[in-house]
Amino acid sequence: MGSRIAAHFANAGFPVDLLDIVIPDQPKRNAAALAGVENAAKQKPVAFFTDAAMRLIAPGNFEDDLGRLRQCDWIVEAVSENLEIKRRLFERVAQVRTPGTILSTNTSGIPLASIAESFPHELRRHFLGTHFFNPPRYLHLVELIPGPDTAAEVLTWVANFCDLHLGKGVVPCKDTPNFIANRIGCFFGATVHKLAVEGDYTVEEVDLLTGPLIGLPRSASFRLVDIIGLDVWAHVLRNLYDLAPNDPARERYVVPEFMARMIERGWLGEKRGQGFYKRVGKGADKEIHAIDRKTLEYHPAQKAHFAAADAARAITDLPQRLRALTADDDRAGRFLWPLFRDLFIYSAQMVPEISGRIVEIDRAMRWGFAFPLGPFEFWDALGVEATVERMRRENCAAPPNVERMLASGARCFYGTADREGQPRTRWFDLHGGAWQDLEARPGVLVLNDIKRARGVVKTNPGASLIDLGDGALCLEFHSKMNTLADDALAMVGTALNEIERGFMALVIANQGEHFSAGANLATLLLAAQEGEWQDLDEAIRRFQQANMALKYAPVPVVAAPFAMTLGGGCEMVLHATRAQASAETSMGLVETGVGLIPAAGGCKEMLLRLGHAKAAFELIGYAKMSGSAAHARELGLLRAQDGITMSPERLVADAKAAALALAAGYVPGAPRQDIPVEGEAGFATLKMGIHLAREGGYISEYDAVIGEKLAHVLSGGRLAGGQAVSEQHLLDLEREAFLSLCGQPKTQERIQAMLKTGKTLRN
Amino acid sequence: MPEAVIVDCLRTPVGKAPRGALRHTRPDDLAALVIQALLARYPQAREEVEDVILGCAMPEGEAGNNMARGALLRAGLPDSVPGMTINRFCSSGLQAIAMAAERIRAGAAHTLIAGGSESMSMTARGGLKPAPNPWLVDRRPDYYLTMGLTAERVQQRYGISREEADRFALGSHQKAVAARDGGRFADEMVPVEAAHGALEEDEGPRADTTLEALARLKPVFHAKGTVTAGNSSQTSDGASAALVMSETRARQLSLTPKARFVSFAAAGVPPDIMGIGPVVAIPKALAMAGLKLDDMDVIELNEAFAVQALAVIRVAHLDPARINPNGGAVALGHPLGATGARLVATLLRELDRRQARYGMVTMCVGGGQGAAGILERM
Repeated sequence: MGSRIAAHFANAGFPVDLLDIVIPDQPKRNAAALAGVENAAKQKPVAFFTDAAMRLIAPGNFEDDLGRLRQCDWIVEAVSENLEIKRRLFERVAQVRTPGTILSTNTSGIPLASIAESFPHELRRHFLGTHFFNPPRYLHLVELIPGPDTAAEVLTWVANFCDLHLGKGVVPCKDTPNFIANRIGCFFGATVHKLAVEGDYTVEEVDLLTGPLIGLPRSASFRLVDIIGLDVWAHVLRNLYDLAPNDPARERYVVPEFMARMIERGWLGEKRGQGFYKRVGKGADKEIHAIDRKTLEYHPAQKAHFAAADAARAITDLPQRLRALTADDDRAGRFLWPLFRDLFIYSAQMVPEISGRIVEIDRAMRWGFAFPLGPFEFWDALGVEATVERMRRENCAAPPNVERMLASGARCFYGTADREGQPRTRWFDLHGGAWQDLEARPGVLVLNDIKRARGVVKTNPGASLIDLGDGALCLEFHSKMNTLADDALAMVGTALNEIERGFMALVIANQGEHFSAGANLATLLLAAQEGEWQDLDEAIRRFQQANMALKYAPVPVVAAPFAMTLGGGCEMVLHATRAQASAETSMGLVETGVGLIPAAGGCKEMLLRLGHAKAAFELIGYAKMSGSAAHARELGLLRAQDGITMSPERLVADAKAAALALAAGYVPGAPRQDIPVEGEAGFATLKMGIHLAREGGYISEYDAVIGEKLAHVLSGGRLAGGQAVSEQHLLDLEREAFLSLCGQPKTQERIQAMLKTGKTLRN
Repeated sequence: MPEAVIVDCLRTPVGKAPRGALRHTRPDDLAALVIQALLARYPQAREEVEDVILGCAMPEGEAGNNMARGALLRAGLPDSVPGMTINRFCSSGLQAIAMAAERIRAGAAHTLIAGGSESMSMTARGGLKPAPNPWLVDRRPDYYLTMGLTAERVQQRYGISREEADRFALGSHQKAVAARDGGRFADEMVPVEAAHGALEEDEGPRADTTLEALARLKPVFHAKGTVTAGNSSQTSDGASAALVMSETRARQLSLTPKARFVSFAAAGVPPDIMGIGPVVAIPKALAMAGLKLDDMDVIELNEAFAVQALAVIRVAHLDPARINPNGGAVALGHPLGATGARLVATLLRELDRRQARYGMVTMCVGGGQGAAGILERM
């Protein structure tokens, strides 16, 4: 965990000293720290944005290198969860630490008061808890826990650093056992175990019920414990049991017997190769086996099956799906209703003990456990009145603070209080018994809130135009996976018309799961199978024209890519004046994977950016995809002038600010006519490379066919000698190559496979 | 016809490319060092040199601009001495010596320096800016196959197993280590003061190589191939050059030549199986000399790839016992343009040690060629 935290500081561009123990009898004194860096770099999910980030870490050890702490601005402790070990280390750290240096612990549950007991005053003022969630690069939450005497300015500084530089969502906590996320998370997990035993649900059934079906991550419950480690999970439960003697659910934190027996056998989960699940066999014979809780024997994992779950899966709206699932009295409902019921009751009971505000509890669960909704948001989704009524019927009454809320006339935990086009959210203060306005967070724009408060400028099924204020117009995609079809492209034209009504800049941004998975392949395949070449040709032209219109728009256009930004989505970003990318951007021109080449100007733009055909060929031909925005910059998909935003919450506002900053004195430019291409000679070089890759068994015969089409485009056609061509010439070559590939059966097979399996077919 | 003799042939140690001790030493500087060492050892010839012919397989970058002329000026030869850089890829060093000998036999010269130099650290195989001919790419793409892929073709066509190749590679290392440790390269060696300290011995041979270690290596050229970094020649930096004279002039200057130049031949094969090249070059060189294969006491067969050397041995019916007694390029490295002359330097000493009469240097050559040269100990 320490090395992964260090990795994320390095991702943010800060040099880190990573100190670890000296392993006895190991000649390399820094072996432990080095192994940490290596694991962080190699084990998935990879902790580093780029290899360059890895080089910002200087490994060391506690024996020889403690003196390095003198130079540090912030010391983060992430050693074993053992008070004595922590105390002893802190004693030594205190001897070398420069006064004023911030010292934080990453403890997940040890009270800060007990760690800081013997600290001198100055140290106590600079000591706090910063609790990162594993993996820290990917989980948004950092819990900020004040120690007994932490100075307010220290808390503010750390909170700002975590938000602005590390891109984390900061949740202020109290120094209570397991803080917020692990307090609620433990209860939720322990309740899952309890219900599993009581209702005799298998491991597979539990994971089916507590995974994507209810909006939670695929790791669900037991798979998650395998990832965390059964020993770590048991430790967190025991910690809570010991430190929270008055917890209303304390008996649930007793480690269940089946789990204790597994721990005895060393079946600790992924790190030991087996836990609730294990992988058996290799290659084609690989299978996943699951454990039988009662016999502790493994069997090939069974696909769990619940009639109600199958029906509910068709409901795309999560609240509606949850209502259907919990209302049903079959095995799925008999598991899920008490699970949510108990979660609701417990969460309300925890106010104000762990947090005075429901807001922090909801954020902690969303950001730390990747819940789609926090407990109170889930409760709103299921309907507070109806569920409280059901609780009463079942003789497990809702906590008094919730009863008081209903009595006050409030029907839900969150509401809206939009005023004069300004979005505003309010939350119910269970402790104070009244509505409170949620403070606006500068630098955070939520498009749905703006749409609610202000309406849309224009909309169609694939995209909308939103007035972001201050003269910035936003083009938002909102189709499934944000694939781009005609409606979204039409909205580009509409946006450029709207611009003329006084907007100074255009932002292309959305807050879906992905920026855009690219062009809509299903429509494309259908047209290709029907042989509608004229229509296809026109569709590609429209996409090309939309991108060119964006590139040479009279106002700056800033695209805000994040998550998957592939194919056509990537091409649109390439045509924007600037990109303001989320640090987590998987960007790439991956068309060859579906037997195509980029044809909305992607080949053209990469040729312009990378300067020569070979570099562009290697990027597009091998469908390279970035693992982060920083990596996209290394690949040339982002330029030095393109911005990167660490916090996903800040992306839209950053893009808006970047766009407005470019507005004054913006120079639109005109399509280029002077792009140097290598022609016949360049084509020959690329074709030779394709031949060698084919001969070396690295690409398939059809890969070579696609490769030659791509080579043809990137060389500017088989022109004699080097010549200068126009952007339109390259677009025409792209379109021609794209169309001819669409007509190939093997391309159609590839598209079909992608639509069916989501995987690349190398035919 | 005047006889052409080789007074001597010297060489630098072979450095590993691109991470060895010679990685920052220019190929023209390496060549100049060898030329100086040669003339220091035979000062009588200093004023006699009429031309310098150097081979280089990638005569670009630091090796560009007529490397031979630059190297001879760098070595302190007078402005009056011309220089020429030639290229027949991996046989360039041998080709240069043959050309020098043929000038002498034609009566056009008495004293020449000939050899080769290569920095694969500075100019990797393939050159700095590959620009293949579009016609050939369309119609004869195999002309541009990488050497490793041609080795895979040879492997498939002649059915050489991975284990045979690895065993051959192990033998190359064992022989090279024994030769180095036995001081058998000492006499031909010109130490180099490089940027990273002095290099006095070849960097390639490994005493700790085992068959198991070799077997673990992954193929590097074909995704499912058998040719690995361990059973291929090493990429290298190095230079080698010979003092080639007419026998008359050598005698007049009281020099004792080590060998007489007998014959040289180059020949072609399909480009995609270039590794088999020696099979056609060897009989051609033997026929020119009126000799039989059995007359050859020692054969230096360049080990571009273990599979290729094994295929040549099998098809040309070479006697493994007479081949590469001091190891080959798999262990010692293969500084492309220098290799031909490097093999001559090593062969001259081995003929002496054995008091043998005839020796041969042969190699496969990129683009589908083979070359072979025959020397007679004097």
